[in-house]
Amino acid sequence: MSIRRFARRVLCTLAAAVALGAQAAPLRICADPDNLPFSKADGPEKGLYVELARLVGQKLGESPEFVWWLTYNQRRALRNTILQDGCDAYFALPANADYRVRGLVKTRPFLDVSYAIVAPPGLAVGGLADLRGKRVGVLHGSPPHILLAARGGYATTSFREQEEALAALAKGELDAAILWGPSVGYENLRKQASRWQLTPVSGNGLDGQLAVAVRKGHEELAARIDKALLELRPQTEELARKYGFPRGQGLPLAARRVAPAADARASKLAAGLSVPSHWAARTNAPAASAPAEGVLPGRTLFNNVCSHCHGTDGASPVSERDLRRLQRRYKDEWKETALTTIKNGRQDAGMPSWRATYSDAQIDEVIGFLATLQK
Amino acid sequence: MKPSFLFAAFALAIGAACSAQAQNWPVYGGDTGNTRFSEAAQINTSNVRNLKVAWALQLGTLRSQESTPILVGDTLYVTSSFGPKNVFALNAKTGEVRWRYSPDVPKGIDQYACCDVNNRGPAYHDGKLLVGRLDGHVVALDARTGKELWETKVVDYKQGSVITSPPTVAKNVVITGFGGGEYGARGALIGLDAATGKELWRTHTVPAPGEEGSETWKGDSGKYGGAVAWHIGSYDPKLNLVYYGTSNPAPWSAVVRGNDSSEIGPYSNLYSSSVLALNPETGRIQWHYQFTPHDAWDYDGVNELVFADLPFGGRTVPVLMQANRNGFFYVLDRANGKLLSARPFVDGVNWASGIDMKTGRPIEAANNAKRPGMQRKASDVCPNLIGAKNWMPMSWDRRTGLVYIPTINLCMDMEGVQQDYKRGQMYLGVNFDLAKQGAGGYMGGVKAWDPVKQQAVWFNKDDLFYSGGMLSTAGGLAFHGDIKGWFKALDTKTGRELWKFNTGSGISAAPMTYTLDGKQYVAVVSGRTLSIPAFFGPLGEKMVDASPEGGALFVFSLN
Repeated sequence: MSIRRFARRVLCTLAAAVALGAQAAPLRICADPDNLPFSKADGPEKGLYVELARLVGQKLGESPEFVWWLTYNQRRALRNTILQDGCDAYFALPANADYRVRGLVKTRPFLDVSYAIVAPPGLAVGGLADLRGKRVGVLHGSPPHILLAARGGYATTSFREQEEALAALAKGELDAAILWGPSVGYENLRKQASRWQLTPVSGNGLDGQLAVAVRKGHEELAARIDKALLELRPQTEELARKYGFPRGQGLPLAARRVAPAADARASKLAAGLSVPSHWAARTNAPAASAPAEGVLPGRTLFNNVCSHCHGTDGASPVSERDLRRLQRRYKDEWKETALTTIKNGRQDAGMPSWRATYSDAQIDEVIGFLATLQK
Repeated sequence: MKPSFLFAAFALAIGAACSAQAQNWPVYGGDTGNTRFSEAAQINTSNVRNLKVAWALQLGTLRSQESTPILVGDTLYVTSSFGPKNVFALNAKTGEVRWRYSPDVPKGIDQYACCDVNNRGPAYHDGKLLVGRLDGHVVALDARTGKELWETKVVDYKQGSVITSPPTVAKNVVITGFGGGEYGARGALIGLDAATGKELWRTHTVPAPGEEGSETWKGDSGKYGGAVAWHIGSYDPKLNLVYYGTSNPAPWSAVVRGNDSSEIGPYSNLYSSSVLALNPETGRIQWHYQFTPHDAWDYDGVNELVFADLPFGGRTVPVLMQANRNGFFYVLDRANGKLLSARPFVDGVNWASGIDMKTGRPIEAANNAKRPGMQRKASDVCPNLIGAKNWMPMSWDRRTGLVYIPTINLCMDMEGVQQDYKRGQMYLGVNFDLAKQGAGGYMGGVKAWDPVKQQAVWFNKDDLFYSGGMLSTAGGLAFHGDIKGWFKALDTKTGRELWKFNTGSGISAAPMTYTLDGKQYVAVVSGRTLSIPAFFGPLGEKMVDASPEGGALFVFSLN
């Protein structure tokens, strides 16, 4: 750790101990330097994140210092900033429980964002069906692009940049466009005198929430930021309106994907509560996915993980790997043998050791499932 | 700076060496067919155990060193990562630095670069050293002095496009591709005039609307179809053809570009995941073959295309061979692209059971069981998106009749529903679990493969994957590095390890060899990768922990 950083740590500790009246220590905030309406390093308008982070800083008694990194690649940006202790809080990440980053915990969501239908005022769009027969512009590879392609029967034109899509709309080459709400809302408000009618939408990948992330081990900071954001809800809404974010109930264009029920751990992480470390370690292991197939506990995990050597439901044509024969082979000791083999592996036979990856409870469930297979 | 008589000596050395040499290492792959084979036999199976470090050079950057040096005369040229931050011209016998070129790479370029900050080395032509840069420029340097002669912008790095591979020189045309399909670029190969750097032609790897092949894309999805050619090209001067592989199509979401199923119909998405044969003077595509039509797995077709003369149907055919990411080893007639044979070169390939020799198309697993798609998860798909072999090049040894391939044994779950957010929009990313070891308890290893019989001859299984590119020699040796930093010499007949040396950091770069004044040297760059492990969760950590970061060139000899 550099001298400077050490000194800052000491200052932060002192500040925390002495509370009000003490020297405010900088709270380092990571953001994209060129991402209006969210954040901008230079220029007259700084963006919603920057203004909100300053308000949060005020509540925490710490003055925010911004660390800038372009988010062409979100994960890379995280690796190069907060995950290297380059900053203390990251504005901002999808609050979605599915979006997990090893080494980070998130606050509760503080902002709703979505795509929006952009059209001349007067175009009535009550649902996706109203866009049939209309020429619709989308951003290349975006969820609206994917949605319309999946549904089929829509005349879409894809664009790399929002500007190109809006230009086509203005020229009458499109009847409507589905664009990224915050960006087009800001453009519409600031530069186009609110010329277009914006309708926020909802559905899988079309809308989401944002949360602030901090490094794991700093759950206390996450909780303080969380509390501040909660208190700043009215100001957050005001900032969203100031920057032209489309507000209001989203028009459902597609169903929302249900997050897997097995993700209680993930949602706890997302909520910023501290989680026992062995839970956190497991979130990256080949996990049991949503129990869509079969009601038998252990079966999903088995078929996700073990089946590619042992066959679906243990039915391998290779006799040594055929798990339906365990009882015939090992008689009364078969469960014990299974437990030992699963935990320790069998190096020479190519069976990995799973003891570090799965809990006793999970392994027991798998053995329970194996019991139902025995011939 | 340097007195002029040294220049003259330089030029003389280059000239003399060129005329005296039977074969040395003037280009990335040893020769323009990328065989990575040397006739040098001074270092051989009986004495390689005495191999030791002759000299070493610190490259000046840490991380993801992928460069293969080249030899011109008695000067060795090598690049570092990050730009390249440094290009060195070295006395190949002593390691003394003759000159160094450090381009002004834009600050913060790491934010734009789609992938890693690597560079695979320089190319040489007619007194000029040619380097592709992360900022999307190709530069020509005076090979004697390192002075910039010309610099051409090929692609805009602010769009996330980068150049990481040396260009291919054919006739007097400098040909390069670029990487970064993720941001919706349409791939292209570009031909520059070697003397001036002026752009002569630009051939897109995805046809424009109306062009032949554009009907293989649904709607207007071909506009930003990816299919970038970011890797190494090969050149056959007799046939006057340059060959490049292309990457997967964009966007990842196949439903946008076609039927999102193995019922591909017309939507094969040309020319993604393909090999293209182009005329170097005009850039015109002479023939193509597509390895993975309507790709949904990220099976880039960019791996190097290696030349050989192999017996097929009673005659000797000039072929090109590729160990594809998708797990199949392809042999094609390189004159016309006819598919001669294709078989899996790793165990466990399950996304397709084989390649139909009549249609040239893969026979995919039934019912899209191994094809990820919209709200359709594919579990335990083998190989995973890193591929049965990644960029690290194989070598072809015409004496043993074997190809030496650094293979990978990983599988994956793939589904596309994870929400992600980056500047300008929210998007749906692929949700995948890559940390799935393939069957057999090993994660990769060097395999000796008979390309005619299409079967393995020996296989050194490895507990960690991502070992380095290969070099094979007439001394009966195959050289390669691994992720733990070991640089090894293997007996090409049996795979037995005869010598090794730990360079202190993981090796993925491919080695080369050269002979000067009757003495043979073997050179390899070491410095472990970073970008791939970042995807891999706990397995990635194992890779990263296998060695510290580094950046050095090691040159070995017997005495």
